[in-house]
Amino acid sequence: MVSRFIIDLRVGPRTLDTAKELVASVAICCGKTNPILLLMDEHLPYPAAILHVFGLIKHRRRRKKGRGRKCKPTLKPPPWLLAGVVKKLRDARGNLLGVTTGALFGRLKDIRGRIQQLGIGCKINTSHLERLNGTLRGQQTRLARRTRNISRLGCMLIWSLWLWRDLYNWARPHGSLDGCCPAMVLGLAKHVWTVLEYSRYPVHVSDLQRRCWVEQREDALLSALDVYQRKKSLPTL
Amino acid sequence: MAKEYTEQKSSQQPPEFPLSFFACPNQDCPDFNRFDAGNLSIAEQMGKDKAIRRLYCKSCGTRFSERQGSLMEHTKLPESTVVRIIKCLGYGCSIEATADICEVDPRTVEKLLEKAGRRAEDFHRIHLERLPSDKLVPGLEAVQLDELHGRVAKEPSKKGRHALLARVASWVARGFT
Repeated sequence: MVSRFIIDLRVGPRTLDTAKELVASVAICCGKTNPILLLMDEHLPYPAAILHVFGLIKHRRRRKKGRGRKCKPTLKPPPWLLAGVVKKLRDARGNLLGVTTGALFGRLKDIRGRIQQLGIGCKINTSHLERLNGTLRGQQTRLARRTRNISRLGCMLIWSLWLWRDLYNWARPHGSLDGCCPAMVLGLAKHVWTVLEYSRYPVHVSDLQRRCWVEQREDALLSALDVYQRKKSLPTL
Repeated sequence: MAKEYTEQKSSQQPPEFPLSFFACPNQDCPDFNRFDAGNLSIAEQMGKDKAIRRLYCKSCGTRFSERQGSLMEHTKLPESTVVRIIKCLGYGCSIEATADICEVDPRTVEKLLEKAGRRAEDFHRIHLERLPSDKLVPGLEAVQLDELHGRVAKEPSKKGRHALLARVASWVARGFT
């Protein structure tokens, strides 16, 4: 069943680093070695970011007849990872001509089968997230189109989005989820929370926990290649 | 009149949550952040209307307010106002609009937004850890990724005497380093 749970909202420029942060959040949440299906649009940094976070080491053979320098290892997608892309075809003026889909990692047939098995649709799509974007733009004036109510400070935008994400996940019943909230579908909540419940819920985080989170994120952002090429420390007496 | 006031006042009091809703905030306690562990009891009532409970942890002997870790911590606003502010912010009202609706100062809303934002991230991270991520019990099986374009205003460039002083200070600092 579709849960519509928001895993992460990242604010930043459209660069590889932001994409890596976003994919690392997915890896932290789902695990790096669990089979997962990723559906996205053709944003350029995504393939590199996914390979960086989920990729495995690919050892390459020497060149001809075993002579010459050994080729450096690269990254390859893991066999359990499926990733599909929605491509928009536009003309020179930017008008949409059509939408095509394709497989980024894994076989197209497997991706389609997985989508149908999970009940997300019939073909590769990002429709749930596009709908969520519409809700977000409608409910957060800071992100509305052609508005003058933009944030003056970046931190204000981030805090508003984090608060909105929690309220969306926990305190808003969803029509397509039969009046449940996304956290209920995932089994995290037993009922739709009221804002009073959310406000009074005690959140205690220890220093150790914070350090663990930082380490977890650093590990997620570390590619298999970084781990492989890390210099081994010499044994000391 | 007095009776009416007390009745109105009692009806306005927020509902008391059960003790299973709270956890010990002491990091050194073995029952730290464990909900419904049976280690808490009510030590006393405090606050202007005796509406806030002070809880006692049997495991470590810590006494703490039931508001600790919540959005009501260190605030003098009534709970109904805090809830209204959060609702306004959750539906995208601007800070000025929220302050006007809830009849508070805009700086109060800004402070609450900062506190709520930071707490929201912690709340989210804590609950993400409870998601099953084993191969046997899969938690999330499909994820959609997308971008959303938004804008943040540019920082205003400093003008006047302060700007000149800042420029001189940076020049001096660069010269010495």
